[in-house]
Amino acid sequence: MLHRLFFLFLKVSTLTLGGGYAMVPVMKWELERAKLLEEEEFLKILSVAQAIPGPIAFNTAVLVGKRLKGVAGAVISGLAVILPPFFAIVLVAEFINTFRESVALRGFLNGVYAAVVGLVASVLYQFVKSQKWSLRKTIMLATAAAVLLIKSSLVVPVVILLLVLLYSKGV
Amino acid sequence: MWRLSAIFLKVGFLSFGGGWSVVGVLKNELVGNGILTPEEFTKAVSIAQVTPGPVAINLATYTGYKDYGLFGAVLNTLSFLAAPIAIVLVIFLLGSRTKIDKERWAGALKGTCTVMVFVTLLSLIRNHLDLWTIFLSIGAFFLTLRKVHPLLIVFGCGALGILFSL
Repeated sequence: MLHRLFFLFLKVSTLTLGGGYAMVPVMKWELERAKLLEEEEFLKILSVAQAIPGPIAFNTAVLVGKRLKGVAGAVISGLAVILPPFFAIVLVAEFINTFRESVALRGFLNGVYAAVVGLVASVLYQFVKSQKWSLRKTIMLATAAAVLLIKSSLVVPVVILLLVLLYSKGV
Repeated sequence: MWRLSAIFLKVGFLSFGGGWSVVGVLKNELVGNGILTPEEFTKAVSIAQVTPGPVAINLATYTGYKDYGLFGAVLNTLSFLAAPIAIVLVIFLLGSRTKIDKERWAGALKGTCTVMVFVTLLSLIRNHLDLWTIFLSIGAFFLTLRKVHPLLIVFGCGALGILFSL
């Protein structure tokens, strides 16, 4: 069972490019196919994974592992998710070092960066679109953003304060 | 090296709602403290995006590896994951005895993430973008709205970048 969990998450993590949000649906599909977890249960775990800090794919794997096989399951699943990207990064870093002077490589990375800016803009757009905007909330968020832009070192207190305020006011 | 992993430890606690919310904070910390130049940061973000795995973890691994080799990469990755691990532990210990209203908490997170992603976007844009990059970014934005697969967009823009640089 433990090795099944390990290889399942290893496979998902190796084969899914494009960040955590791309990984989650694949995980769900694989877990259901292996008859390890029902959809409803998975969605429950996912909502917890989203509510705590950390990469969503990692959190989900750890919680699923814990649910199925206790602490050992959590450790195994977490490891399986981080090992492939770890070695991929090491390989890519070496590769990039070798071809540092390549104009084509620089062009490629610049193009990717442009795409990233577009993707982040659309993430922001989705966030904005999926919320109800009261005047009070708009003012709170705009103030927080303005403070962060002026003094970025205040990020920890600003985030905590904003979370507490939003939660207690229920906006 | 310890200073670097302390940064990732701190940012790990702020990393709600997907990696992009903390990339802006990471940029301030890494470029502001002179650990990476803005150009190196741009490169690191691109590399993190085209490698499998969550963007923020990839950034942690890459920055650690670049300066301190394998050990730095391991240390950085673990520092960044310390926060979720600690909180998962707390949840296990408390069990279902917590009295947090899930819907409210989700709402509060969403609001906070909106601010963080906004800050990330501005800090990404502030990196010496030329007209051609801005044009590509706008194109990428509209393609995602039309539900084109992000990977296709990322590698498509990469390919255009190669063509343009030759």
